[in-house]
Amino acid sequence: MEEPDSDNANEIVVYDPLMEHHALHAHWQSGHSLMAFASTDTLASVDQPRDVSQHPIYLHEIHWNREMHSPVARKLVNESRLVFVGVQQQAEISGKPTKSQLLKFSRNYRSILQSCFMELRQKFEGSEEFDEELEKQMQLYSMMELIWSLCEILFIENSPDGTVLIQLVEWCKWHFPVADDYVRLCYNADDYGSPAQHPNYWPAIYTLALQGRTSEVREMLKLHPAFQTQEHDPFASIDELLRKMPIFSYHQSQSTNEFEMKWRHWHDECVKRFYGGDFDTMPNLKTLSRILCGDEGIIQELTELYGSWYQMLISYLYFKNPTISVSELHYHTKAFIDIFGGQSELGPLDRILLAAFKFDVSQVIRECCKHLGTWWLPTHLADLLHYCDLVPLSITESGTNVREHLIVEYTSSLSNFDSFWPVVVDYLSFCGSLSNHYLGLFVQRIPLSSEKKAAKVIRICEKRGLLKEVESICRQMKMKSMQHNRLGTALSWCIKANDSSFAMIIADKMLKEYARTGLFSNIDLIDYLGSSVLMSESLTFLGKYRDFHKLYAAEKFKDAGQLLLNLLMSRKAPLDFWPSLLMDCLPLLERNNLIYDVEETTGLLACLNVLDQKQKIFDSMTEIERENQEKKMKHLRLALTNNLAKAIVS
Amino acid sequence: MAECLTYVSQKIHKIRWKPTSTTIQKSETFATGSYEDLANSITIWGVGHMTGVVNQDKFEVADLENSQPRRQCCCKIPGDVNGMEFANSEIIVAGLSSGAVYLVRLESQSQELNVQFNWENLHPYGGSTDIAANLPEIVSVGEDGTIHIMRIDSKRPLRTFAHSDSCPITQVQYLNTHELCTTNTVGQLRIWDVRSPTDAPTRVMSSSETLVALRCVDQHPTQSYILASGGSDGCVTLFDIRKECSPLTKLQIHDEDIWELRFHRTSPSYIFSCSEDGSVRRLNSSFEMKALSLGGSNIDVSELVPKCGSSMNSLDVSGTRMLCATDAESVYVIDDVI
Repeated sequence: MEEPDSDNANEIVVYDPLMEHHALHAHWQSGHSLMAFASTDTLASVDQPRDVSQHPIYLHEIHWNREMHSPVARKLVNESRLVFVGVQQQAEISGKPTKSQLLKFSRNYRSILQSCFMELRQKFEGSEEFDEELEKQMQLYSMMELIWSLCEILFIENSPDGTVLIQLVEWCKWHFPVADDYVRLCYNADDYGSPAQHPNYWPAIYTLALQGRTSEVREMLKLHPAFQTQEHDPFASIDELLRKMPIFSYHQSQSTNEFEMKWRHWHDECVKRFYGGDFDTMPNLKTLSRILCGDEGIIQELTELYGSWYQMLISYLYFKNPTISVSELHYHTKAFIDIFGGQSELGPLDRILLAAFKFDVSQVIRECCKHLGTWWLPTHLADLLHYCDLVPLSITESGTNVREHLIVEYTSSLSNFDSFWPVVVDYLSFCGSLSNHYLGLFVQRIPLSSEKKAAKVIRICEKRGLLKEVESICRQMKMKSMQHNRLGTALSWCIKANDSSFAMIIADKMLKEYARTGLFSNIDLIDYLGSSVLMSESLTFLGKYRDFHKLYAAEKFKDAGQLLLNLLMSRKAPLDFWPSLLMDCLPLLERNNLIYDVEETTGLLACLNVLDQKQKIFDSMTEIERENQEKKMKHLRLALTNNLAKAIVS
Repeated sequence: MAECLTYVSQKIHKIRWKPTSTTIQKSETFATGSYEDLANSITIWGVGHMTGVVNQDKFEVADLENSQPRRQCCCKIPGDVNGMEFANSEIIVAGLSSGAVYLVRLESQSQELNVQFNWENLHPYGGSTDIAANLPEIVSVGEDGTIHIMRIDSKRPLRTFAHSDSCPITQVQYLNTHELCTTNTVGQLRIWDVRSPTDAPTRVMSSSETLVALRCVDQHPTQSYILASGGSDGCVTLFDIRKECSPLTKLQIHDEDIWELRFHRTSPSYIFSCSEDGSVRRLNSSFEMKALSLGGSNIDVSELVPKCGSSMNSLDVSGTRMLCATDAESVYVIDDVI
């Protein structure tokens, strides 16, 4: 089994001694896997790789995109499946989930991502050796959480008036704990006497301010030895500004205009104090006040301290234009990207976030597909956004819409792992108009390793109305039982599938076996078939014939005799079973009390004559068997004539 | 009712509490058997009490960490674990899809799980579907309709009922030291006598006319003539084995296949059942034969786990604690179920 090289994910090198002279052929497996082998013959296939030389031919199994098989990913897959099904069921009940419901679902997804990340981190910290694979996965999960939460703010959560900055500032605070790191450093260092002496004291204050955490900035400032509350003191002045900074919240029943008025007033005061020279004596406080004024220049100066373009963008807007709406965000992105080296310097994550800031949903999904290496995020995000009416119904190359296309891709990345089959079924069931078509195709490819699994698959098919597939599964199972000579099991499958023609074949086979050995192998089933025997004539005959045996065993000879006669006269028995049936009459004929009257005996004789004329059935017998048979028939004829004589006399 | 849900990254087919020495003792260890995985295994888990503990700073906190099941040890098994039981507190027997039966020993001191003995190829076609233990005997049944009875110290089966059931056998239980009962896919409940000279069952009971499969069976702990079985139509069928072949009563409890059901060992008025529809339910009835057969008995059904979206494969109850496991790779530990 070859593992793909992670640096060059689209190229897998297969080593094969035959390759020097021969071409490599490949054959698709289900999901993300291929079977490859070397051969000269262009017509060769995996089923029949033709011999090309004396060397053995190797079959190479090639897999890629197997990250969904790791323990944590399995947790992600199984947990998120429940949320996904929940979304679809909600949509089925109420037409379209409401915004608050969608937000709840989105948070569910996010908490799953977070818990997966925590588990990875626990493992990472618990392991003694540095595990590169774990670290990579941790990065992936934290990145997915970051992207998801931004998309949640911008696309799902956006408030009616379109203001988003409060949430965006919170987003920065949660995902980029730069400020907290600086603060911790300040508090933990004993070498410097007090936190205010620490070289990171001012960086801590700046970053806290950039994240809009004014009360924490005030707490920090109070630690400074020069801090005084007197009037005309620079500290007191900045403290007042920080205290009075208005914070907009949609939930505080405050209109945007009212807030804007307040904010402008505050902002003007900041600018006034800055130019009024309030902070000229303290350069650090001057920097802080420039942040409060929303000075673009200071942002550039502080990039060393504080992360990336999107963080800067959010901080800048928070102090410059706090009521900016989602749709206006992208006007400001370019300036900050330029500070960080322009478009060409953007990494994959930057591109995804930029697309989100530009409110370009399809671009976000496209970039996620391209860079994340997993279908999980684009699939689930597209599904949620589909219900927000944000995913355009643009047609992809395969002719389906984006959401469906992603679901199919996601399931195919899961389907090469047998264990995920119920998950795949769940996703495919909610795949729009083509879901039954996809499901039908998938169900046929589920290996039916046991009776229990077959029962589970049948249950699913019945629920979705895939009757053809049910039939095909029953057929597969009964063929399998037939191959192992488990006639009873095969018959029970026939009854389940209501397949009368095949039931007939099995019943005939059972009768033949009885004719040959004199023993019924599946009495335990036949005796309890109940009304199912009516399904096919042969089966009914088989059931009746068993009844005859039971009557005979119970010494109800009269009833047994009548039943046997009926079976023969109704001509339901297959011809080659007639000799056995007629022979069964013999012990009845030899009893003292008369069982068959004149008419009945003549009927039996007629049957015997018919049999005599159809010599064909004896063709397959050996010489000895035939002789034996003829002897038996002679004996029977004698017994019948005797019975006739007896009947006439009585 | 305290509930704890854990994702274990393994599809669990069977889950069993380790037996405790007294009934008052709370079970804290259980075993799981996985299936349909790349590498299947039997795993031993420990689970603490779901109460708060005092941490370093002398604060009492709800101990989430401790009430989550912890993996203690694990043992690779070559095949799906279709049947698994604790024969006693140290020995686990498992019937596999490969047709083999494994005997695994749990070393209580070193906390290790080792394969001690195995019987290969008992059920070459279809594999083993269930197992029951009554030391020193173990019984294994298979899709091939064969019943094998083994002694734990002998390589050859003690007694074999070869192909004595025409259909796949779904579950097996010891009724007493010499009698077994099995269920099959055409709705029959059969009683077998190990001492009988023939390969035929001593009694065959049929749950319905329509050949609906029976998936599981359990015996009433005190009224040993009552058997409860779960069918693929979601019905619990009660049988009185002293009477003739027809069932005593039939109750529609679930919507889909009932995979396992259990009488509570010490409060036998409760039956717990888990189903393909993803729910776990509890029946409460006095099991008075007369009232049941007249249909006048009070039966309460309560839901312990609501439909969870994927098949609930297995459950086990010990004292007041219940375990159940799903196809979504999750394990529930539920306290105070009675």
